Amino acid sequence: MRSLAVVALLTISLSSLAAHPHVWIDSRTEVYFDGDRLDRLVHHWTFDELFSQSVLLDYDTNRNQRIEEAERRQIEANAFSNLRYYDYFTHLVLGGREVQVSEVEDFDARVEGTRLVYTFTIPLDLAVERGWQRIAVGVWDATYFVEVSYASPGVAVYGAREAGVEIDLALRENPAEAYWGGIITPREIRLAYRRAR
Amino acid sequence: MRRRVAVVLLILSLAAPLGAQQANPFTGGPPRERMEEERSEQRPRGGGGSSFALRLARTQGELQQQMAGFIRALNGERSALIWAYLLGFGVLYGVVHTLLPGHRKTVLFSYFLTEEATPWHGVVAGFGLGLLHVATAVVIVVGSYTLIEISINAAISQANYYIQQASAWLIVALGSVFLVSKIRHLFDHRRAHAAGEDHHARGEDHRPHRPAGCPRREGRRSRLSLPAIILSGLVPCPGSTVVLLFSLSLGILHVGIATVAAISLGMAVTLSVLAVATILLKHAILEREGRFGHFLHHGVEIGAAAVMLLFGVALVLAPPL
Repeated sequence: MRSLAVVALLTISLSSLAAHPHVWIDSRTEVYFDGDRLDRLVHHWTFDELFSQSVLLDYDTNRNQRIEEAERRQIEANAFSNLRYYDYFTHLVLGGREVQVSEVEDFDARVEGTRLVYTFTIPLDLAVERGWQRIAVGVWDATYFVEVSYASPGVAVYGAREAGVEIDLALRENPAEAYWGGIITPREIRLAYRRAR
Repeated sequence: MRRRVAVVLLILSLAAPLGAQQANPFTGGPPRERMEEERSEQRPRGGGGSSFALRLARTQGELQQQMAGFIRALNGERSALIWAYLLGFGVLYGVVHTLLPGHRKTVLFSYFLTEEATPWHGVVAGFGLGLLHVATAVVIVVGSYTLIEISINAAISQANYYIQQASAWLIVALGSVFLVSKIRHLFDHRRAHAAGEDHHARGEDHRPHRPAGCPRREGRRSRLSLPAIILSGLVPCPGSTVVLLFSLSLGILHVGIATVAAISLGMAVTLSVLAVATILLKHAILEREGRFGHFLHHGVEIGAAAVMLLFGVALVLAPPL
């Protein structure tokens, strides 16, 4: 009887696991300070070759391995904007509070070699204050349709020094957000910042 | 009678209202549960979870990218060596891909725990499922490409959605039929005992081909049930779908079809091994004698049928990819 219980548990737990990944992304996040504000995040996602080509098959209509404006708009409408239901895979925590990423701007798609690259901006517009403030940004797909890895480097900060902002930057695991049955522990970018002068 | 019920259920299940959503985040509409709901449960998880599945998933990813490289290399070049690598990687990919969640392993497992079968049936089921799983992908991708003018990705999502729902309802139907049949068998058995036919007292066990004291409804395995189980594999293999799309994008569809044929072979191997192992497990269970053997026999069969039914219901409610 015990073996039956094991079998039942095993099958139920296996069937509750989401499907394995079908798309791979190398993700790089840029953080921009502008004056006394933390202005925006810009994600660059480089897709695996198979997914890249399947998108190009549909939307690179003139087959020149370049994405023109009309094609870019088609990709945005049909192979990007649906990600709003997934918060654009972006897990954003501002000052300890989770924030839903509902709006993004400046979507761009281009081909680098044989791979498709998406770039888009998440506007933040947060005032930089004298005390330490913290944000955490992680990119992962909890449904595990997509496996996201951080490119090297996975994060870059621009404009902090010019704006007189002191920063502390780290890429850390977040076990509290483990997904795929708790097997995958995602990593997130943790940024602390304050006005230095 | 049971066969007639199965046919009716099968037809009903295929005609049942189909309603659920896509799971491709890029094209598929909203997920069943929004991410914020998932995130709101802040209980710490992770830690202690096996990373074996993760390693498999990543190996699979690497194999897939390797295959992409070989397929690209075959674009405009003829090389027996690259072909050999491609097909070899295809078989390996099929083996690994099938070990990961999905591919109707739960159905196969519960079916062979419920019904009596020989290892040969397991091999037939494994190869049948593997072939059908990949062939569905070929039909959908090639069909979408040749027949449909709109986005091929959208067409594939659409077709997958209906087929997966149909398959899920089929599993619900089969699970129900098996469950009802096994419960009825249990009652028939009890009735036989009440009538004084105590084969246990005579030291007989529950192996196949035992004397007639114990009614053996399960011995009359419906001829329809194995093909129906294989039919439940009528879901397109997502891994094969991307490989086919990729080869289509390069204009070398034949290379893609050869690759997914290799994938289906690897898939058939994994599924057959699993099916045969389940059948041997079931035989080992049936070896148990006496009242406990009885209890185990009925418990396993009814439990496995219930698992199949629950799995089907879970698929209907939230179809995986």
